Amino acid sequence: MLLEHTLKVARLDFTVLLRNRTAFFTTIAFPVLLGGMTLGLDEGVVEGLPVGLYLLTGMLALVGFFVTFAYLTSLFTVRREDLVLKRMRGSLLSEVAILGGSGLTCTVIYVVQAAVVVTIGVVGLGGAAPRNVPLLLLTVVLTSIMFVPLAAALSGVTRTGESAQITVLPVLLVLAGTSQAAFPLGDMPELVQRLSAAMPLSPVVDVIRIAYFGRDFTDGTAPYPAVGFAESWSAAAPGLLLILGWTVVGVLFARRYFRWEPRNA
Amino acid sequence: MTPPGAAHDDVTRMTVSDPDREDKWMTEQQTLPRTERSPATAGAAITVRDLHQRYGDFEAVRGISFEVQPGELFALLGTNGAGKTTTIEVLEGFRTPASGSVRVLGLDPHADRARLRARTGVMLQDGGFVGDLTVAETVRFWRDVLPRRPQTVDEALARVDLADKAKVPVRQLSGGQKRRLDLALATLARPEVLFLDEPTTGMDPEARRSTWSTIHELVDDGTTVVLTTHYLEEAERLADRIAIMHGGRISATGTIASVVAERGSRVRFLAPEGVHLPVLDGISATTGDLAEYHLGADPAAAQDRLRRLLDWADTNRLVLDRFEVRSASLEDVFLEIAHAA
Repeated sequence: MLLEHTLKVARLDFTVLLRNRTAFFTTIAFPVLLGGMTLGLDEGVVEGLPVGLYLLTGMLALVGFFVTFAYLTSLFTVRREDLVLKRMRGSLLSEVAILGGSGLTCTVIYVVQAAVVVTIGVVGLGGAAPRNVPLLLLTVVLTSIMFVPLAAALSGVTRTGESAQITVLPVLLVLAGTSQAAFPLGDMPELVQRLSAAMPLSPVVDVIRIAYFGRDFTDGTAPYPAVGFAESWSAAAPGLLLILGWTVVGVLFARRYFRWEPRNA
Repeated sequence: MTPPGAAHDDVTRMTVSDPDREDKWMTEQQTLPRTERSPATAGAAITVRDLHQRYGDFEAVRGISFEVQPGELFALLGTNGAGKTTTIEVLEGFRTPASGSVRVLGLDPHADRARLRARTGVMLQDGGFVGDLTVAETVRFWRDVLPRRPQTVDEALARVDLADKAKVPVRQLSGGQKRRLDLALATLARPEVLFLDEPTTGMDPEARRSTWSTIHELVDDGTTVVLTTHYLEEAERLADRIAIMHGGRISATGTIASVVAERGSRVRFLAPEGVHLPVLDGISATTGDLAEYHLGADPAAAQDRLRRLLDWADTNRLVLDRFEVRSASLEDVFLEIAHAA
């Protein structure tokens, strides 16, 4: 029943997403654009990596932010204000199926987007194939799951679909800035580096790079040590745990801030 | 366990319906799991006892009690802000009561909502649609969610006269059409209990009439219905019993005939010029162009007052033009309650 309902909600969301121009741009067009942006960058080295691939792997994490977090924050807000969430909650659908169904749509899209971005890296930038594909896939899925309750929580303090752009923006700036998705933080003070490393998108970027390049980017400074397939799992373990930790925090925030009914009700 | 024969004695509607429907009703009763027919609520489909509900400091519902029998249509009337929607939302399980107890089919509507939702239908006051979906897609989605699917999408749309709108995005429907779509969704599962929050608001007279007949059919099939409305005609057409709410309390309840009878009859005539109207037993007339006396609910007292009024007219050699004695209308009762400070 739960699985069936989750799939029904996911299918509903997918139908709607293909019809809504803004949603289509946020989740389908923009992420591909992000990946494509790196195509011109075939010279230069950052952290011992070709700059194009360094950015591409960072974008891989940011794509998850847009496809899941930014989209769902706006979706949950609009659905709440339109009383769709209330209607759903007044039905046989469980709360997990309602929120999880929308999350599932995003997860599937994120996985496909990740495959597209990786293809851009391999074909367009002449990079090697990812060293640990299962780890990469797991990270993409866990990241998407992590963002569902966090988006639910942020939607609770967002008034309308339009104002979601305003509430999401500061989160984007903080998460993108602290994650080393686009630029390293090696020259920053120790405290800033430690705080940055604890933010939600940082472990995503770290683990994606471990999986893609087969190097342990959490170990000291460049050049980072190469790790084999088995070692890459243990190198990724702390990052994966941090992602799970943020998922738990997200659930707690969502319990506190998420609303089923319009804010002015 | 109540014998089936006794079960429909308290369902007045059943005593006038045809034998087929009685059989159907009995079958439904017998298939209910035993545990869901606790002795305290055997008989009543809905029981509300001393319900209080507040939003912050504002007490929206201030201690109301009522029961709704199976197969009955119970209407909650009142002005905006009277507490109707709050009450129905507690029954629907959207809110927990601040205090008091509420049972629907013997279950707690909030705590047992997962079990109850398979047996109840809810029509919200407005909204709740995904505008990008078509009418047919909307019905299909909500139908797919149900464990049992007694109606096809086409049947559900035909029932509310929306068959020709099947391919139209919900966003493009008029307010009244959305209300009809909502009714189709609320009744998709053929629920035992149906909650309708202002079901005909925004409808043109023809759509309203057609919706009333749809609701009539549901009640004839044995559905228990609670509806809120501020259209008095709607209550008069549909309701077996009503409760008029004002300021979070029930000010009058019962059948429309009994609610109206409690308010007694009144006499009205064109106020003669230059004459002071008499005071009858301390009751003075309300005046405008027409003078009106409330004669009270007690027939003997009313008769006495009426006689003395006519005596006064004879004594003063007055002919009371447009003289009329009538019982209170539902509108009279409603307005008196609404204007009572």
